[in-house]
Amino acid sequence: MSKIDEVRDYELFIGPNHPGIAGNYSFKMKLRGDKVLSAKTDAGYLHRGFEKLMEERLFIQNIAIVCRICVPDPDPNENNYARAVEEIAGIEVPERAHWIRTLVLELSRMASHLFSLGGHAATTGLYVLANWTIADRDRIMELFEELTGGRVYHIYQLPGGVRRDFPDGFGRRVLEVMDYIESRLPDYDDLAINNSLFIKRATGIGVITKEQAISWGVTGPNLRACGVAADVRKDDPYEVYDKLDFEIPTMTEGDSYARMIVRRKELVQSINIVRQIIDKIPSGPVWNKIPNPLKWKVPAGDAYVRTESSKGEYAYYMVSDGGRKPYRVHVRGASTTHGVHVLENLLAGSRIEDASQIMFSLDACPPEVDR
Amino acid sequence: MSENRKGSILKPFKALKFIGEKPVTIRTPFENRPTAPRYRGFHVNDQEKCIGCGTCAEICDNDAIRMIEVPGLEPKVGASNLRPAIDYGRCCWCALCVDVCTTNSLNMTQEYTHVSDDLDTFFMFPDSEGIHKVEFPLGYQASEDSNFLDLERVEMEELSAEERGDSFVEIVKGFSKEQAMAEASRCVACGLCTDTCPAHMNIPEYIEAIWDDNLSEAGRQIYKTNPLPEVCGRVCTHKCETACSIGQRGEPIAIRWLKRYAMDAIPADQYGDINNLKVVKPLGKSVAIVGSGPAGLSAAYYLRLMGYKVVMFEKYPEPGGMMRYGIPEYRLPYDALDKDINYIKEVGVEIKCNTTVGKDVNFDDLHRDFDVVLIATGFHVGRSTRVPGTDHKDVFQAIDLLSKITKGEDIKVDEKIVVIGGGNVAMDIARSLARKQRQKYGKVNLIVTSLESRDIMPADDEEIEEATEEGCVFYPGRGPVEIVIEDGKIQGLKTNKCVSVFDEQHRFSPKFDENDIKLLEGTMVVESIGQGPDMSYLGDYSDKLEMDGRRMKVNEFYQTSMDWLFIAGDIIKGPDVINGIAVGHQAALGIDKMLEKKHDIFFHSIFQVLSKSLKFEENCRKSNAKFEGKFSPVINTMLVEMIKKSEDLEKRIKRLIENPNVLIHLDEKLKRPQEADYFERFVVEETVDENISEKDFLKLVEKKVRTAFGLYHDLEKLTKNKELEFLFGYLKDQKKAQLERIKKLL
Ligand SMILES: Cc1cc2nc3c(=O)[nH]c(=O)nc-3n(C[C@H](O)[C@H](O)[C@H](O)COP(=O)(O)OP(=O)(O)OC[C@H]3O[C@@H](n4cnc5c(N)ncnc54)[C@H](O)[C@@H]3O)c2cc1C
Ligand code: SF4
Ligand code: SF4
Repeated sequence: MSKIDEVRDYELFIGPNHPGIAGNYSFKMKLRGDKVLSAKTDAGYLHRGFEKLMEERLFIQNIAIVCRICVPDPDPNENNYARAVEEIAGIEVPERAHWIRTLVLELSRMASHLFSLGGHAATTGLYVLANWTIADRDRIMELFEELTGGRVYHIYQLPGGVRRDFPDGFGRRVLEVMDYIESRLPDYDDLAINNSLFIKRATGIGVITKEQAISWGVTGPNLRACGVAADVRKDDPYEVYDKLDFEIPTMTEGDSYARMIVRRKELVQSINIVRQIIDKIPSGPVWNKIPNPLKWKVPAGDAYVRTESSKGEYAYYMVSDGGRKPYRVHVRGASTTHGVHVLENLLAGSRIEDASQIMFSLDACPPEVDR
Repeated sequence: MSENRKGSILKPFKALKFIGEKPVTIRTPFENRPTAPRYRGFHVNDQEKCIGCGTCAEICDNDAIRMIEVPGLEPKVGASNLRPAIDYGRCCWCALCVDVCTTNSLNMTQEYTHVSDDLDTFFMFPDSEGIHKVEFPLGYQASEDSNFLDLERVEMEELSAEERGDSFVEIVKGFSKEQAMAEASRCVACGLCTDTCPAHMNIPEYIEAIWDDNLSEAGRQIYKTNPLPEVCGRVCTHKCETACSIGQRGEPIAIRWLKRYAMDAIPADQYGDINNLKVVKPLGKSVAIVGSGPAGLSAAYYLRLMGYKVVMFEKYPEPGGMMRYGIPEYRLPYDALDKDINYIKEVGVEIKCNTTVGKDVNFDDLHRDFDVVLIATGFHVGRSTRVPGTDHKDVFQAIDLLSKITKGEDIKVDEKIVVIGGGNVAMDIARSLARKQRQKYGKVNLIVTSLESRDIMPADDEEIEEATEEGCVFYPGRGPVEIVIEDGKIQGLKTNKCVSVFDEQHRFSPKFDENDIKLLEGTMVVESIGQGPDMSYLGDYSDKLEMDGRRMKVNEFYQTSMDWLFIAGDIIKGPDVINGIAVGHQAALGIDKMLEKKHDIFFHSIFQVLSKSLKFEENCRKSNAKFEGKFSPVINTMLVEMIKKSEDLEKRIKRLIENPNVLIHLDEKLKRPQEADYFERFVVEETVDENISEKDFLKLVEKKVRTAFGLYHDLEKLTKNKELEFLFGYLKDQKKAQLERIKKLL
């Protein structure tokens, strides 16, 4: 290394409170001028040891913990947890509950995508979109509040079904919100997505090739932006996805902009799915009672379940030794891949002003990494 | 959306159309946004409805709920004086507590704002007025569809009326393992039942053990306070079930049947192993017990375990008192009773049957030959209505007939019988005689009449229903006037309508309508209106004993004014088996206290328990230190480590005793003093023979460590305080590790 290089090379610490970064996340970057030489991520600012905590708690108590593993998109956690227990214990779920769960999952996906669209734009300095999408996301939070009693954490899906049925008139209000969000999409387009400044800032940034994506194990919108139409909802349908009509949008460029577009298109698909659910949902009970949760023992066994979360393929591996608490719950979300390996790869060689955008466009969720 | 990435620089300016819109986020002046009706906001708790079972605290995944004692609130049957207080610094608003609440008293409101820089204000005590005493609509509420509890009992199979009508075979069939486990799984381990049980049985603990299919543990827990579990598993008056918190909205746990299941499932020859019984110290002192009913047997069992010689005197040919000679076989088969009694004999209690005190043995002799005498002779003299005709030879006392049936003697069974009485004893004799009638005549013709109308008849509803099914006919609400006799033969019982049984002060003072007359036909009349004691064996002593009203004066250990005389059972505190057992046990503790002349043997608070355990650890350490360097190197290493460990344990216990935060909870009453008492026996300083062999020494140490292990194990389960639970858990683990090590060396 020459003398000059030594002077120009420096280390930069970003996070954990950097406004361009989702939650408690940080990077240690090596830079040469504006160019990122390498980056090391650290997701450990939200460490609560979810997996370990779960081993110490009754099966029922964990339903209040799992949602915390992904703040913007908590419901796939609840869904995975409930389904894993159901699979091990052989618990049937009433049909209506399957539909409600699907609804909840799609609403959660939309809320998360709105969050990420706004956040993504904000990393390029376009904060107005963030203000809009987050305010619009609030309409979905309101639906959650009505259905589950909680806005951010829903603690709603539990083994055997869901905790409460629709309140009166809920379906109608869901449709109203869908109409509203649908009406807002052109506004988003005008403001950011079709904004030539944004296009310029997002094009060619954080490019993942199809081959890289496959070999790195990328999933979800990040993978679909590279031209691979993979989606657990289609490939291994759960709940009632096989009874619904929807498409898997893809792009081919694999850059930050393509990822934005995929999420934007998925919003449309989700609106479409939600409308079908409200139209077709059967009536009936929403929960098959589980035994007294304080004494409940789940038979020995294991289960691997997965959902398609807003981030990608999201899996739980659960082992029960026949006791009252899970013996082990392993949580594997797409963020571990996207937020660590992929991100570190993409950052190396990028420019400092794009670092936040790259990260946001990957839409990784830190607690999912450090769980 | 621009997939071809041809953007425009002007389009963003379209956003200007929103320039006049009202912003969505700023609200001035500040106002609470209204919430959805199902919102999970601050809790409310209907303090009247709440029974303080603590199930909410149990399910809370954040340990946010602490049950606190409410000043001025008295605990009552089925309700403690604790109520939940919530730490909103911990609460995550999951509402699991709402969905598990046994009474539905705990709900949430739509209130969600609390601003304060004083952290203590986040620890709140919700009542029905809300945390800020401002009314908010209810939010997330308990719902029948989503309730976590199992409210329905596992059904118990019974013989049908046809199957049982002419036989004395036991009616209730008992749970299978699957049924018992399913029933056990409904329990929320709140312990309200324990508070209500006269013997304070470790109910949640044994139910838990049944659920874990660990029958030995269930048996061990049961035997701690009840040496007649086969009996109680069948005929106990089960006050605990009245208190059960699941009974608030559903059917209470079948505690009695669960106990029966556990004891039926354990073979008699395993009882000894399960209880791991060793007579603690042969003391060379002896106790005479008069009467082998539940009270006498219970006292005998526990006294024997403490190391006393116990001799029981029983006037009947076999032990058991009213359990054998009163309660009919179809409710309590003799082999079940014998299983219990045989075990009591096995631990070394001597029972002299066919020996009436006052006739075959002099009461004075007992006083002379034994250190203490306990009398538990029960109520064996039937009371008479004394209406004209009751001196006829075909008028009988229920308990005389019942005891004759047990003895297998011939009794008179006429075709038409009238039974007077509305209690359970009347049901027992009526149903027994109905069986005899069916055996003899192929049909039942039996009338039961009582002063009380049907709604206030003291007998259990099931008894009345089953008696009806078996053919008994009821004439409740009628008072006997005379037994009509013609030519020396009974024709029936003349009755008047009874208008009221009690006067305004709830005193017994029946009023009759003399114009409403009815003759209940029968050629034989059985009186069953109550029993009284016969304590003539006391002789002159009865004049010397201090009285408290009509009863003997006793202290809390049922010790009379003559310090060598204790009293238990129906004659001091009835009216059922479990009260007999509880009083017998308590008397045994009192006798021990007296004979040992110990002060302060009863420590009731956890604080005292901690002090005792500190002393225990100190003693162990000192005793071990004396032998340092005396034995082989392996053992010596172990000793040195044990001494070090003791120091560590002492430090930990001390730290907790001195911690003011924990201290607040330390004066909680220990519910079951007998646990502590057991502990006490090992705290006594003992002198170990200096020349003890290595092996004997090891055995001694092993015994101590094992005892400590058992105690810490129990204490860990007993306390509801987290810090204490942790400490006792830790102590237990240490002892367990030591135990394993010693075992290897032995
Ligand atoms: C018909 C009937 C049914 C009952 N059903 C139930 C029930 O289902 N559940 C329930 O919990 N309770 C029931 N009880 C009540 C219960 O049986 C009594 O409360 C209990 O047995 C009292 O116990 P005890 O030890 O005080 O006396 P007892 O059981 O009455 O025993 C006293 C013993 O002392 C002996 N004795 C008396 N005098 C002398 C003497 N001078 N010398 C030597 N021995 C003597 C007697 O022979 C007797 O064996 C019933 C009672 C009766 C009469
Ligand atoms: S709402 Fe959940 S966290 Fe809060 S007190 Fe109830 S059980 Fe505990
Ligand atoms: S039996 Fe009933 S009262 Fe007793 S611990 Fe169980 S739930 Fe509570």
